[in-house]
Order: sequence, then C-alpha cells, then structure tokens
Amino acid sequence: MSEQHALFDSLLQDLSDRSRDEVLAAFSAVQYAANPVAEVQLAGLRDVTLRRQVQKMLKLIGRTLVQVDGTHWTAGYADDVAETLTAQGWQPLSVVDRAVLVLVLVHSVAIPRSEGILTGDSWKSARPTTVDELRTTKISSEERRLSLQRLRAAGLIQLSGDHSGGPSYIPGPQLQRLTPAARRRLQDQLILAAAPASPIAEAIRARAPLPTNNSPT
Amino acid sequence: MTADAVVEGGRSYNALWWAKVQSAGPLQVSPDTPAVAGLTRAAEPDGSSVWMLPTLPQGAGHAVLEELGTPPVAVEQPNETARVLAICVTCCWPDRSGPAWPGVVGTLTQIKAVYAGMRGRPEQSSDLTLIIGSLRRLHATHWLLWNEKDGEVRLGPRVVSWGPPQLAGLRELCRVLPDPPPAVLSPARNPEPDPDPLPSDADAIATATATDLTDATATATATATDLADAEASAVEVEDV
Repeated sequence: MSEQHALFDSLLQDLSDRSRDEVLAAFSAVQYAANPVAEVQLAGLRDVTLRRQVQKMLKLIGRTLVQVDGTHWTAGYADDVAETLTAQGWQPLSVVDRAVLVLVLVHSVAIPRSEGILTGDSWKSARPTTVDELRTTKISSEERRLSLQRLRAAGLIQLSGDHSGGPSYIPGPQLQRLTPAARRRLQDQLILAAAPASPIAEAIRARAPLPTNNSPT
Repeated sequence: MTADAVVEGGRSYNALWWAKVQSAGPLQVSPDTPAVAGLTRAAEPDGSSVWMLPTLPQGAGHAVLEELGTPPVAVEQPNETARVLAICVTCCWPDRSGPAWPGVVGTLTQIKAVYAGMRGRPEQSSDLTLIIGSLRRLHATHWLLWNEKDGEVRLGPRVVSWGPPQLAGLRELCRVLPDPPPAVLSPARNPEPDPDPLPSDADAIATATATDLTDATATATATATDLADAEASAVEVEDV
C-alpha cells in the first residue's frame, strides 16, 4: 500500500477527499465482502455519480458492478475480460474442482430450476446437495474432500444449514458475482452438457457456434 | 477485446493481468515480464522469477468491511490458521530489522516445536493435523510457500504487502513466541531428476475425470474464469 497508486491515481486525484473516501469504501465493499452489499449502506453506491467512479475503478482491473435483487451490489469479472481469458485457456480451477462445483450446481440449481421450484436466473439456492449426490467413481473420497475444502475457501460453495443427513452444500456467495451474460453462459452450458440432443440445446448451438463464445457483442 | 489487449501498459493489458492475479492469486512470472500498473513485484531469491501481486490505494481494502459489518469470505479454522502463520513468520524471518520477503526456509519440525511451546506442553500427534491443514490453507492463499514433500516452508509473496506498521506488530508477536530450534533442512536436491516424479493420484483422477466428465467440466470452464476469486479467501494478517 502506498500513497501513490500507479493505476487508480488518475481517477482518484480529481475527487474531493470525501468523495474519494466514499468511492474507495464502496469499491472495497463490492470487491471484498462475501455477499452483495446494500446500496443504502454506502454513498459510493447510492449516488449515481460516485457509483460511476467505482465502476471506472473496477473497469481498470477487469471487473464490473453487478446488481443483485435490485437493491444490492457486488463486483464480478467484466464479460469481455472473462471472454478473452477463457479464449487464452486461462483456468484457475483444477478439473476435479470444476467437476465437483458442477455437481453442486446441477443438484442445487439446475434440477430444482427444471422442476419449476427455482425461478429467475440466479445461481443462489437453498436446495442442498448431499455428499451422496457428489459421490462418483471418478473422484476418490479424499480428492473430493480436498476439493470441497478448496471450493468452500474460495466461496464457490458453502455448507447448507441442513445437517439432517450429514454435511450438504449449496452454491457459495461468489456465484452472485456472475454478470447476467455469465449467468446465461453457465445455464447454456449446463443444458448442452445435460441434454445435448434436446431442441433447446440445438437453439443454443445455433445462437453461438462455440460454447464459450456466446456473450453478447 | 480489441487489439490494445496486447499493447503493453495499455488499459486492456493491465485489466487482463489484474483479472489473472485476482482469479488465481499472485502469479509467478519470468523476470522480463513487463511491469503492470498497480501490481507490485516480489523477486525470488535466486532471481529466476518474480511474483506479481495487486496493491491498493490507501483507504481501500478489507478494513472497511468491519465498519460496514459485511464480512469477507470466511477462513476455516481462523484462529489455528493465524497461529500457524505467526509461527512461520517466527521461523522464516530471522532478520527482523529488514523486510519479511523473501526470508529463509523453515521446517515442519520447527513449526511443531514452536506450536507445542506456545501451548506450553509437549508435542502431540493431533497437533500435526491442525498444523498441516493450516499450512495447506496458507499455501493456497500464497501467504506461505509450503513444500509438503520435504516438510519445508517459506513465507509467501503476499507478505511483501506488509508495511512498517504490520511488521512492527509482527516483530512484537515474534518476541513473545518461543524461539524455534535451528532448522535442519533436507539435503541439497539431487541434480538427477526423480525418475518417477509423483504421477500423483490427483493427476490420474483428473485424467479419468476429464475423460468421463468432459461435458460437465467443459461446462465450468468459462464459468470458472468468471467465478474464481482467490482474493476472497486471503487470510487477513490482522487476524494474527
């Protein structure tokens, strides 16, 4: 941490001390709080002019503001940045971690959504995925345990409050950082994986020739 | 993204590097990698590579979360994890008049000894589970570089973000912790590479999984870039 900041100073130097504090507080809150923060809590989010400054700061580091439930804000990766990194093969999660995460998303969100229990496009869900549902012969129990630990630490999954049948998991707070386009990409790809021959999968393929290249342009 | 993505020092160039260090944590790169605005560099002692990690302007960071009552992503076993970080600082930062990075190599034997001393009792086998769990957690978040095979640990690149106030607090903490025994390091690495360098179970499983869960994992590929946020799981030094 230093007085001078090579990336943000050009944005911050034109602000009054008070505005600068409000913008930095809002920036920190959307970046580092586990859950989305209420707009009413922070002038940097409430005030449209200050919020624009927060958005400019985020843009410099490949992020963007994401509104949740109309009253809360968080930050996620900007769609163009995620698309470029994905095209470059950037992948911070191991294949096992991704597999376990997808199993939780299938059981906690995709299946309840297909049954009409969950509506909307959010990846937040209270429907727990049990350890039994995560069992697959392809991942050893030790590897699964370590993977669950890493995914919990990253906030991608969390323990559900329902302990009746042993530990169970729900999607973590980080899922709320997905932009609308990222939420749609995830939905599309789950459909392509689960029902590749379905008419809806056909429609997705027609809309986007490459599965990872379907963000709006 | 437009062509300026590849222009060194350009906005998109900076944004991509920042997105990388946010999603994967500090990155180890070749020393000739050009500078990125706002990312600080921590050189490995042998000069073979540098770590790049983000810096924030004064007034930004986790401190604001407490005022707002909005916690960051929780660290599991926070007290034990902070204790083990403190012990590693004691073992790996012998020259406390200077910066903590890069420090020296410490050993699991030292950590176990200081841990038991801190508890005021002889070493117990159950200590090891807690210590290893904490070391893995701190390694994953780059506060430590933990070599499980050799039982050796170094301070991680994140410690370069510690300024004078943090170092002063840590100096005081080291003073009250028991002194570690001298480090007995593993013999110098054999120049002959191990003929069978750990084709670990993880790799085998990953391969099997990749074959059988191809669709499912492909599903997460794009999404993982959107999601993974190593920053969120960073242990705060203030917890120490």
